[in-house]
Amino acid sequence: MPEAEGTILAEMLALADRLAESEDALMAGQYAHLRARIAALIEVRSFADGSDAA
Amino acid sequence: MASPPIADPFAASPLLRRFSEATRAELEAHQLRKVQALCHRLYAKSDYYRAKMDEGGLANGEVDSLDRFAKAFGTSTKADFLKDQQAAPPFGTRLGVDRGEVVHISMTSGTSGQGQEIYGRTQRDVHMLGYLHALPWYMAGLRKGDTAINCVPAGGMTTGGWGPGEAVRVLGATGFHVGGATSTESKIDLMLKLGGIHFIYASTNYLHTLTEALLARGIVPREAFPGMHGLFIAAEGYPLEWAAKIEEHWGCRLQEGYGSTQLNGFGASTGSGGVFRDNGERGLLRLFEWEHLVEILDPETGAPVLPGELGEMVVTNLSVEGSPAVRFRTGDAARFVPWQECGGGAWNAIECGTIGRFDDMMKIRGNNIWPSMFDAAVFAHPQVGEYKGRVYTRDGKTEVEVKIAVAEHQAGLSAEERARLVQSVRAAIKQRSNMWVEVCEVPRAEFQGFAYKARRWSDERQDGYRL
Repeated sequence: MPEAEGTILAEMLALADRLAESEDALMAGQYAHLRARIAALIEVRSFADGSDAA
Repeated sequence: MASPPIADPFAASPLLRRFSEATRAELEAHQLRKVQALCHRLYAKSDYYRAKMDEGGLANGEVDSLDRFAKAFGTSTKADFLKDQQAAPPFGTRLGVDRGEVVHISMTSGTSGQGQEIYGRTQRDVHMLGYLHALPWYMAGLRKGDTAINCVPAGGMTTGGWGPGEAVRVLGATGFHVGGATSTESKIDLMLKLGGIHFIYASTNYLHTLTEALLARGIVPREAFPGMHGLFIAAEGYPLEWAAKIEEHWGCRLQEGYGSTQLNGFGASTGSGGVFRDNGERGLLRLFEWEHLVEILDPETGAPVLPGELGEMVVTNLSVEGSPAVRFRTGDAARFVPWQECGGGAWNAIECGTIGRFDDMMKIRGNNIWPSMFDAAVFAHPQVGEYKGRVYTRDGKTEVEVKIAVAEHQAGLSAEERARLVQSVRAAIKQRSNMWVEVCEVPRAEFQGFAYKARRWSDERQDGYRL
């Protein structure tokens, strides 16, 4: 389900963006780390999905 | 060569299959899209690269073709990056992001003697660093649940210190990062206790050291570690005779990768194919061209080399955010093999086992000589454990001295056999370099502390010019 994986990652990135708005200083860096992990997976798949980097 | 093939990694990954099935046009369209995004970002953020683009007439970072990019975007060298860093420490003006986005740094090793480049990495870059190690290792057979031995020193400030740990973890294997922390004997003790090892990552030189130490203890690697399905080397060239011996000792296919700090990990690997082609000739390092734009150019003219020719690797990262390398002249010398000659897939390749350095090239008695020529001649003799070379001046004439040490597991060689070995090495060097050199045997103990990244050659000719 390659297309579905790309769609799921895009939805996860949007959710991670919302988390990144947290005002909790302890969590902020960790949310940024999580967002970057998702962004990296989108980057890894970008050739297959024909998308640009997140 | 006799080792069994590993399971087809493409069959188990639709994503990898997509890469392998892409046409050249699709691949280049992807590269152009990435280059355009990169140039836009760098034009906005990086003084260094904006100046490059302005010099080349790429107004506002606009690039309309890969050809235009290669012609208009000037190359950079290590010296350029070091100068930029000196003017604006620590990262120079090459960052493609705000300084606050840098969470990790990678530095080059400094073995060139010129200085160490420093690269800023974002959170995403660090994830990509792991992926750019995981990708070749997945193709080489590393899988979830495997036990992996990483012989490269972990941590510190190098790319090779952090990528392997990330890669083993993201693939779901268990990593034992033994490099640097323990002696070779302690590593062997640990490996024997683990009760099953599936993958080893090491420099070419260290795999040689480890194998030699195992044999010296009377341990046959293929019997002690029957589950091994991936031996992965990088960093140094080797003769095919050596590779065949390694595969025989380990009962496992040998794989190779080409990587660097500038590539944020690996940029090419032998995939699952190993270091031999089907006809027994040297295998191919297939370039990960969807992650990096790699040009192989004549270092004098800057023009692309022809198929089969030796050229300098010039690299552009397509996925790095922090400190991207754009048209960076690596100084690495590789033989270009176009994708049409690779037996499938639209990715170009370079020949494995022969990557050298243009700046390691020695002009000796009018000949261009690379240390890899000597490596091939010397290590074609399995009795040799290590060697050192020295170029010096005597009575106004350039001389070359090669000291060889017999491998520990060959310690039983008689004086007569040792003398024959010295003569055979001398003849092999003559055959490959067209030079007669002095060869002598020294004790193996002279080569201690030589294990990770071999610097086998010293050029002392300038010393000989002192009055």
